[in-house]
Amino acid sequence: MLPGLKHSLIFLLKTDLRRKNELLTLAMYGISLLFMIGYAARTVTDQKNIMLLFWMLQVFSVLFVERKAFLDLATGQNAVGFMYWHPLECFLSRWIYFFLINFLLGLIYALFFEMWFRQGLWFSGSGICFLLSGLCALHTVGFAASSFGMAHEKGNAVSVLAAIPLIVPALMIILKIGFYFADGLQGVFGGQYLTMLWAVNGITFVLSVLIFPYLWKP
Amino acid sequence: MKRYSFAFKIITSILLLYSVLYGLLVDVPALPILNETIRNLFYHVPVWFAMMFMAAVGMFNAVRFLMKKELKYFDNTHAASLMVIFFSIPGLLTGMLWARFTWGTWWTFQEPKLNGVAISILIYCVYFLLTYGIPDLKQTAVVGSAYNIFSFVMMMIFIMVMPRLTSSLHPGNGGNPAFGSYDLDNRMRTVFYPAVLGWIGLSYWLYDLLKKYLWIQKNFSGKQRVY
Repeated sequence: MLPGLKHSLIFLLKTDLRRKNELLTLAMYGISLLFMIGYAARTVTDQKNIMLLFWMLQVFSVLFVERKAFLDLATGQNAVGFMYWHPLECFLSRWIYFFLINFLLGLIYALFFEMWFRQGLWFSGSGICFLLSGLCALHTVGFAASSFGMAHEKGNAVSVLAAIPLIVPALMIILKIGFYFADGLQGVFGGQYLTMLWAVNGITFVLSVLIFPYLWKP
Repeated sequence: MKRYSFAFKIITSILLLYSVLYGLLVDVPALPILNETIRNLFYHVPVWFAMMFMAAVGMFNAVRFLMKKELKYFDNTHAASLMVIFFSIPGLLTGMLWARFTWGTWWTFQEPKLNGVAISILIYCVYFLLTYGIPDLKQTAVVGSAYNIFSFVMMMIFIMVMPRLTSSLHPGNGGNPAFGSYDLDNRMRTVFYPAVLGWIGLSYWLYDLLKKYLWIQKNFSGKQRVY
């Protein structure tokens, strides 16, 4: 089942490794954000504000990473891919690949947040589960928006534009859970909102999968 | 067909006139906090129903376009989406007015229904930005239809589902009873249901006119595209 999935994943990895400027851009972006976190660590002390800062940075990261999710197909650099892959393979491989990048970036930020803000939150079972759920929700929405941008001549800008209103509800639920985490009440109220987050996430994912075959080929 | 269309317009006009005028005159239950503002139920709720009906029409036509690839369905989707924006404005304004006199504020960011509405309108605005920026007409229709389906489902989640799962001030949400359960007495029902039908009828009437206007623009004004 889906034989092109592995091929597509390896292809994405190899392409990114070949394009050194893309890796460098991502690294520069990550380092700049870390500098901002370090700067904020001197002034932001309230746990809820720290949580807000963490997830706002994640939103920017997700949008930054997702903007190039379909860039190679949109610009015709990889038109041959249309012959090899089934749309589902293309969608799933990119979803997995870009989620891994987002999750890696999220883990790095979480590590620095733990170091500088001493939250004592992210590297516990519930913390990892929250990070995974939140990033997955932001990523799925950003990814769906990126697929819309694929058909647009200003795809990069449009994918960000399309993502922002879609990302807001997911962000609001994430912040609600985050504030419970900051108050230490995640065990009492977190579950309900986490279920809601996964429900929104699931619906977005299923819709994106259903719509993608109509969008992917020019 | 022409006779049915005429009858539809006459019935819609009567229902609207009746609900708008009689809504101001009918006796309403004297409820604390709500007082006379409960009359807004005859204007605020039917307008949202009309808006949601138009969103459903747009989504239905978007699905049909993606299945059949005929541009006329996307024209319908586009007209319906314009009507969504058109009806969302009075819906929002009447809601804000009601909130001012019952909750004491024009807008509150603590209220999931209001947030959901604001986000849904933003999503529909992005739909227009998406469609206006693509040079190729067929591609515009594909992207627009796909995004329209997305917009409709998201709107339903933000307006209908999410407020019911969290704490909310809005009637019918977050465990609060809706008006139908306790406050909507039989006198009000005689205005409310005709109002819902009338506003939905008006939305369809305007949508039909807009479709014809777009068709004329497309075929007689010499423009290559109207969106």
